[in-house]
Amino acid sequence: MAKNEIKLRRRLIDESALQRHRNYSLLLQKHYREQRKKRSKRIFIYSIVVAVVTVLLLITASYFLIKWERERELKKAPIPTQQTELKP
Amino acid sequence: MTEEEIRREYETIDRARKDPAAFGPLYEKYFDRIFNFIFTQTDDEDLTADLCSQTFLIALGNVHKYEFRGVPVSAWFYKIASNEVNKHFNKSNARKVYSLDEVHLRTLFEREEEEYSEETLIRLIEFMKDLSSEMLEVLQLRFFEEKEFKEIAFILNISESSAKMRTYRALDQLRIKFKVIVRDGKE
Repeated sequence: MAKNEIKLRRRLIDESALQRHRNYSLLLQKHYREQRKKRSKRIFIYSIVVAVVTVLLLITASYFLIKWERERELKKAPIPTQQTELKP
Repeated sequence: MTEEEIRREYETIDRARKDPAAFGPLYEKYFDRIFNFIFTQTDDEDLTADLCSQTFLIALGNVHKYEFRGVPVSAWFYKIASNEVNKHFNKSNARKVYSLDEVHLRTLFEREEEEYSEETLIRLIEFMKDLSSEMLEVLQLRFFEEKEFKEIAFILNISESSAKMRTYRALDQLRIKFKVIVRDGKE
């Protein structure tokens, strides 16, 4: 089986067909739309990244806060003294 | 294309970086050539229109990344178009179609002072079917699009010497097949 299909074209694309497909204003519109889409996508991704970083920061901060609070409470609590129970 | 023309086109690209509307003259200038280049590889007008529009859309979207490499801007359009066509065929898993323009083939035969006949043409097409896609690509760019080796190298992302080697190897293969036919005919 041949690797590629080769055809002999006896007709040329006529100017009217080319004219029908040539449309720069439509291309420009598509380009602006694509750019807007790209910008929105970029903003969305940045927002997600910022949100994830904020959540991670909050988790880290709260972890240290809780740890610090626990240590403070431990320091505040009175040290239990050893008492020997007397038997009657 | 003169050095001055290449520079002028680059200036247009430079302007298009700030104002996409400035890209218009390049679109108008190269639309027909790129359309025909894609059409030769698809043989489908609607598909060609889509791929051609996609080619210019990609070019316009990447205009800020374009770097001057000493080749005309058209080579960049051909490169994008070639990539888009290959991407389409890879995705659709279809066999690539090369539709050769008879008028252009006749001109090539006349230029090389070779005898043109329907029989030779049919044989040439048969022999070309056995060439690899890479070889057909260089032949198309060299003889149908009339590109210099430097441009072909840029379009296909290969070195200039590889482009030359690929072309000569393809021509040699065709020549050998024709010689075999002539020899067999004499025997």
